[in-house]
Amino acid sequence: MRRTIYMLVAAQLVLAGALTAGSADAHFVPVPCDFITGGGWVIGDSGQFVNFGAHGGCKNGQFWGHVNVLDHGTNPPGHLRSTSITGYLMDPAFPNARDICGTGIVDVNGSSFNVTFRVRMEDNGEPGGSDRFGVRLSNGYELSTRELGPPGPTGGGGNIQLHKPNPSTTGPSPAPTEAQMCAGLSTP
Amino acid sequence: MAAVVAGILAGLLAWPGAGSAQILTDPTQTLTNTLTSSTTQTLTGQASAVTAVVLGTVTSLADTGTLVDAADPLGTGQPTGSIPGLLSAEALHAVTMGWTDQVASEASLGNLAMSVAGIGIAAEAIMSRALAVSGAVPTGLTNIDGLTIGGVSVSPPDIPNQQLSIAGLSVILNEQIQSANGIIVNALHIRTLDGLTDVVIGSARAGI
Repeated sequence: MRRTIYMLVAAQLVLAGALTAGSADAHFVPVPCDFITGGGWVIGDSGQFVNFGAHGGCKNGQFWGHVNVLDHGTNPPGHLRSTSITGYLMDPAFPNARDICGTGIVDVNGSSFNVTFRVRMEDNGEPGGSDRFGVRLSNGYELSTRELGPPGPTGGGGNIQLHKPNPSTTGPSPAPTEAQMCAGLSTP
Repeated sequence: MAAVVAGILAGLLAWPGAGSAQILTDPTQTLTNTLTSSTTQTLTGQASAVTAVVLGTVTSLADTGTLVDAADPLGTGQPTGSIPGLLSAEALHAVTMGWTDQVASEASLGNLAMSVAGIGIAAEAIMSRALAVSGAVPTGLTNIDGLTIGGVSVSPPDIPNQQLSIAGLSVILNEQIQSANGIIVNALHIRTLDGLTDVVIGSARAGI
């Protein structure tokens, strides 16, 4: 009996670890697919404003969306502008969250270069202070996922909304792997 | 100027009449969308981060265009946008989506800086949302963070259609225009009293 209990506990730990470790199999395209939209601003790690506006989902057999992020850590602000959406995923550990992956162009400090990105958006109800946003880029930039607030501890504002599927919300079939969709970038 | 504006703001607020201007297309101008062979729904949807009419010239930033099909959600965005001499903003975003039973539209932007008739207006973030669900009263929602007018901080109310009259300007916060089949939500609507400048920041329309 004790051995059985140990095995059950171990299995639970393995499952919990799989759900929280951000492994390659932890995220998948929701079925049916849906949409997430939102805009606002958060406070970056250096106290700077980071503004964003984004939407993502599936549409007519493809991934769909648009992402813009501006980080005031530089003057003028550096910004990411999406050029294609390559993935849209849900995380069973955070059912109100969706990740949008894609390619984009970053303009910062007079330079312009291509990146891949992964954005997390999470809708935790109204009025939006508990919603969360984060972004990771292939050049090493990361804004860890954080509340828009107030009342969140990090300040900021705005709102994120998770929408139900509509008649267009089919993604690619078969769905690419998480690594293919997000070019190996993990959730911010 | 700040003191003058503060005094005017303190004196606030008249409730707008039904004649409030609309920048987006009249929601009664609907498009018919055949969703299935047996079901026909009439959908309206559009969103724009900024729409300005200055001396008769219309300029839109991050405008989705008109929703025509539930199977064709529309979205757009741009990292920065400006109308020279009038305003600048960041992270402009607009989206409109339809379903068999509802339409949802949304527009947002950040770091708004504008000047109308010499009055500076700024906001950290602005968002408007419109939702029309079949058989229900359409609803609207706005978020306006860090709003200042003439250098004075303004706290938007929870209730819609709050109008401020400020030295040659009409400013409506959380403007919501209901019609028989939909709603237009304008987070911030600024007009000069001479009618030469009419600016809507964060406009979302939904109808079904």
